[in-house]
Amino acid sequence: MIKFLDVGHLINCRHKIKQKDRLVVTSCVLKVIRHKIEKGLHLFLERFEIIRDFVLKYYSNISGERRRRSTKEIAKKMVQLLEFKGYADVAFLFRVIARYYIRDLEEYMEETLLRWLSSKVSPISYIVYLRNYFKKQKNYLVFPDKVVDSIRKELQQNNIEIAEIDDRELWLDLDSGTDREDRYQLLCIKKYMRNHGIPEASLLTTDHRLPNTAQPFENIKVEVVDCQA
Amino acid sequence: MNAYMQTSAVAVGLGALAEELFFASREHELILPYRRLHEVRRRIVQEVEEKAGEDVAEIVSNIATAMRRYAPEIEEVLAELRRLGADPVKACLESAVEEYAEVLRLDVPVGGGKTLEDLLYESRDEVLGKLHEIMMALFMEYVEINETCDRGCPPEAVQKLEKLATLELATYIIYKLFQKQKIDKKTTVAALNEMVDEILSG
Repeated sequence: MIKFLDVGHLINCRHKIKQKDRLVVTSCVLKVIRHKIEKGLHLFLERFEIIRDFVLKYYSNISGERRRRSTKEIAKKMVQLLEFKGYADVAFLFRVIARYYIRDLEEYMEETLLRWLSSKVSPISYIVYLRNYFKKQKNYLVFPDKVVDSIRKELQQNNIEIAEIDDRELWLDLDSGTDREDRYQLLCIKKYMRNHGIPEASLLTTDHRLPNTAQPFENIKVEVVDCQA
Repeated sequence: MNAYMQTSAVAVGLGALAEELFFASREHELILPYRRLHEVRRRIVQEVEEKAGEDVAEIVSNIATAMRRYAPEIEEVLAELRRLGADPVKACLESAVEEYAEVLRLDVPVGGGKTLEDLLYESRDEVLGKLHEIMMALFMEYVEINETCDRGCPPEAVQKLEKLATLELATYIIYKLFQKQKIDKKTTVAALNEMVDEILSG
């Protein structure tokens, strides 16, 4: 059975492949991730002072040593804090950073922050470091592509197929709406199935609303899984 | 600026912020040539501070002018360091990386039994936050440049260090002007913002 993964599944879950399954991610999913990272990054830089302030406030009641964590742990905590404060797009950025090894960022961090300071850092140092990294030589312009490259690499290492879809008309044909990205991902899957003569497929998602959105796509069976990273 | 002036600026400016803000009490531990460089730095800072407005470009230009005036004295100290077998640029860079790493571990004492980390989280002060950002930016740049200086720094690295050293001094001067209430908080934060952008611009 062919199983497609959506953005939520890709970002939240670890992927273990059972032999009978064929896992596929469409290039549309990667495109959505790229777009969301771009948005999150823009907001992170624009609202940095506000974000820094609530990070300082949150951690001000915790003593020094207990505050310090690995960068991945801080990124995970940032996801919670940002979602709680209503910064979903910035939370998405941190969710991806927490989940994936973004090559250039991680290497740079190992050579500077972790090598010279400590493997456990204070949250304020981590977010300031990230902000500087993004601003340094306008890294924010290339970071979304670096994210997608790193995800592609991990998918390849895990033998998850990437289906390249010609999506030129798909996005344009969609009317606006909060589920626009979901419908776009579904249309990409539909197009792939049609082009490859696949009668039926599954879509793995973490989004409980997706079965509703997917109702018109009768031959795509939506499986909602709970695997928050 | 020529290579001679670039080295002078690096020797005087590199690490200025960390040293003046956090390690002034360690001055006596330094060997004489470094103490003399710090002394020149303080005279330059004082001169620029006295005639400074709040304009970053003006401060930077005044630093360059003062640096030119003190160049013969700085060169004398650099010659002494070279006689002692040191490469002044490399030595100042390595020392700046170590000093910023120490400050950015955030456990340096800042008085009243508190550390820099306590102060950052408890005060949530905007100016201190900006200084932290600037020090992190300088640290990131210095570590990166240091990687290219294995056998002495190449000319483009020295040129970049000169720019950063001047920005460090300018940051310190802006902070001093703020402390002495010659400029207000809003102006200070705006100037420090400009500084961090300039440091990270490459």
